Amino acid sequence: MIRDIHDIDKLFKDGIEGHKEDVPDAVWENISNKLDEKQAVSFEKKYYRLRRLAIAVVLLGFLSGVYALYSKFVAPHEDVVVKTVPKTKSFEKANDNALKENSTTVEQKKSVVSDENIVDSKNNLKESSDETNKVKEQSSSSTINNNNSDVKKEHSTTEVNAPTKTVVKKIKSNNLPERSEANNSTQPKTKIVVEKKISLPDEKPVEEQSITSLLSERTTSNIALMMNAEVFIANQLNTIAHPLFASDATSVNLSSIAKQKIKTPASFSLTAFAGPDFSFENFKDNDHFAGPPGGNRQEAKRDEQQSTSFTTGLLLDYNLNSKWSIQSGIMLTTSITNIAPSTVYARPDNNGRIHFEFHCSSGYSYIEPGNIAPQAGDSAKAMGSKTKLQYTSVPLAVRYHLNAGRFSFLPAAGFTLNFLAQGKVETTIQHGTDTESSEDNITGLRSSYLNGLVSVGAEYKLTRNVSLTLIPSGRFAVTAINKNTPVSSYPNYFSLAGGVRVSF
Amino acid sequence: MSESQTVRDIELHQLIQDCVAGKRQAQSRLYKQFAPLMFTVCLRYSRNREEAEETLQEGFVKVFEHLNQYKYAGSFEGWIRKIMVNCALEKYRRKSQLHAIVPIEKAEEQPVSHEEALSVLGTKELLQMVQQLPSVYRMVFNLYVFEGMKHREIAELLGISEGTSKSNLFDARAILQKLIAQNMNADKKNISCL
Repeated sequence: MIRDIHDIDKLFKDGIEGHKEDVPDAVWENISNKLDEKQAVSFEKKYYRLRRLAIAVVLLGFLSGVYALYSKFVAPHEDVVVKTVPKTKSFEKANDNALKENSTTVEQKKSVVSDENIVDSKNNLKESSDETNKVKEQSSSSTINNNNSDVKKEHSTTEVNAPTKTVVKKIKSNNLPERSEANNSTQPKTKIVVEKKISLPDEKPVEEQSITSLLSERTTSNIALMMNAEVFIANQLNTIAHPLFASDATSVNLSSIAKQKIKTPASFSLTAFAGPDFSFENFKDNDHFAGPPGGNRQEAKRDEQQSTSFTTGLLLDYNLNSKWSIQSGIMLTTSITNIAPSTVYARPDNNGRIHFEFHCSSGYSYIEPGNIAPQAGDSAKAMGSKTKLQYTSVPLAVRYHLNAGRFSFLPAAGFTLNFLAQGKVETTIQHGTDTESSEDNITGLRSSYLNGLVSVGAEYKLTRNVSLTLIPSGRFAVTAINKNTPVSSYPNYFSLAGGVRVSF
Repeated sequence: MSESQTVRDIELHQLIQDCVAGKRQAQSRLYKQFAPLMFTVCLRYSRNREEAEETLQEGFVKVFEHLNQYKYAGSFEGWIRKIMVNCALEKYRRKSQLHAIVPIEKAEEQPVSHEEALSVLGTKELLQMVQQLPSVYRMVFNLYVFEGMKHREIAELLGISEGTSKSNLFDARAILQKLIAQNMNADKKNISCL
């Protein structure tokens, strides 16, 4: 026995400490494999996180763009719309400008008629030239006066609305010196004055103007008129709403009247859309049903890859007011997933019949190849398989409208109830030398599942009732699509759909 | 600190950086440098070689996983060793915790010196003796003798009382003494036969 009990501690410490023992090579191989697995998992997580981050960045950028455009286009207009009617002087000035343009147009229209009047007056003058000068002068002056009154009448008859009367007055007052000049001057001078009164702003004699130049000038004037249309319309509304010669024009709240007169949002609208989906599944292991090959989330992630997925449908919007609307409709989503080759085993189904049992993330299926009759425990190779899931969905969402001229941005949030329309798996079984293709229903799928919905739509108005729409959206499964299966599947989609919206 | 030590430190620093970056070659080099030493640590805590290999494997996976957390404060070897010990303890905790009541026969009272025992018994024999200890005794013995822990710390780690830790250490020593005596006697018999 060791003399001192504590020597035993020292004995073992001195004997073992610092000793290097040979390690089998298999240990490093196992460590290396484990590190590879962990690296793959971390890449997947990083990619998943990056993907989500990318979607968040895109949505954020989109919303920032919406806000920027809204500030640029909508905010300035709001200032103009909200502003009260300017003070009398500027209002009258604007009114005058509009009315001058209007009167110019009116004058242009009647230039031919006025021309005829001048010709008539010419003829009158010519006829009277045979008489004495005085008589001629008198007659001409009277004719001119008559003509003037005719022209005046012309003006007055063409001036339908009260403010133009005011303008006419003004014109009269403006032209008074000329008219007075015309009254006192000889015939040709009078003519010039008349021509001036009724001619175009560039003061060309009416007779000398060609039709095309008249039309071009009319067009120019029309454009100018359109640009002042808002003021003109407001003015028209003012005349309807208030006494013709109201002294205090600022009492008129044109903007509010104009707003009331401006088109109200349509109550209903229908959107037809279609577009691809990009899915990223979320799998969870259901330990209670764990065991069969192909029946855990790691295998599902490794062996399954989405092939195609797209959504199409009709969305119905009901506008609560100009900003908010409720959206529902019907959508059809089709999703096809490719599954890598795997081994399947023959097992009895619920009825006791022996089939090859195929497992995937959506559920399981009993494959019934026509020419192959397996025995319990037999195995076969399932060549590349494909699952096809179709859901009919009913969304319900609330949308907010951000209008910026012809563009609109419509963020929305809600949920979607998805009803299973079809769940099938297509596979090719190789058993010995036999190969057989089969298409079977997937067992374990729920008849319906719920997902949350977030979207940021953008629209461009082609006409008053028709818009082109682009709807990037995300749908996130709240409940699994299957039950009582080794793997619970929660499909998430990022969709980019385009369509046409018609308002009623 | 000598120049060669500094160079080694710099090389180790670079090696660790490469391992953190995920370079498999660097990881292999690090493993080869420290695995033989750590395997001995794992053998002390394990019942057999297979169990020691599992502990070593788990330990090194954790080393590479958490290598970015090493702050270059203290010995790197000590840092890896701590991870190995923790892996061994985790393995011990996963198994059922039954206090082994081992009948300890009184060994033959033949005084043997420390040096004599060392000369006769090699490292492998000593390791085998430690492996023969019941699990809880082995844990207490290793933590007390090789890791230098106090009974209070051992008791917290293993979920036992301080008194039980002391008792277990006493029993472990008694068993080891018996095993040493048996080995020494067996050797003497072999020598006498020759």
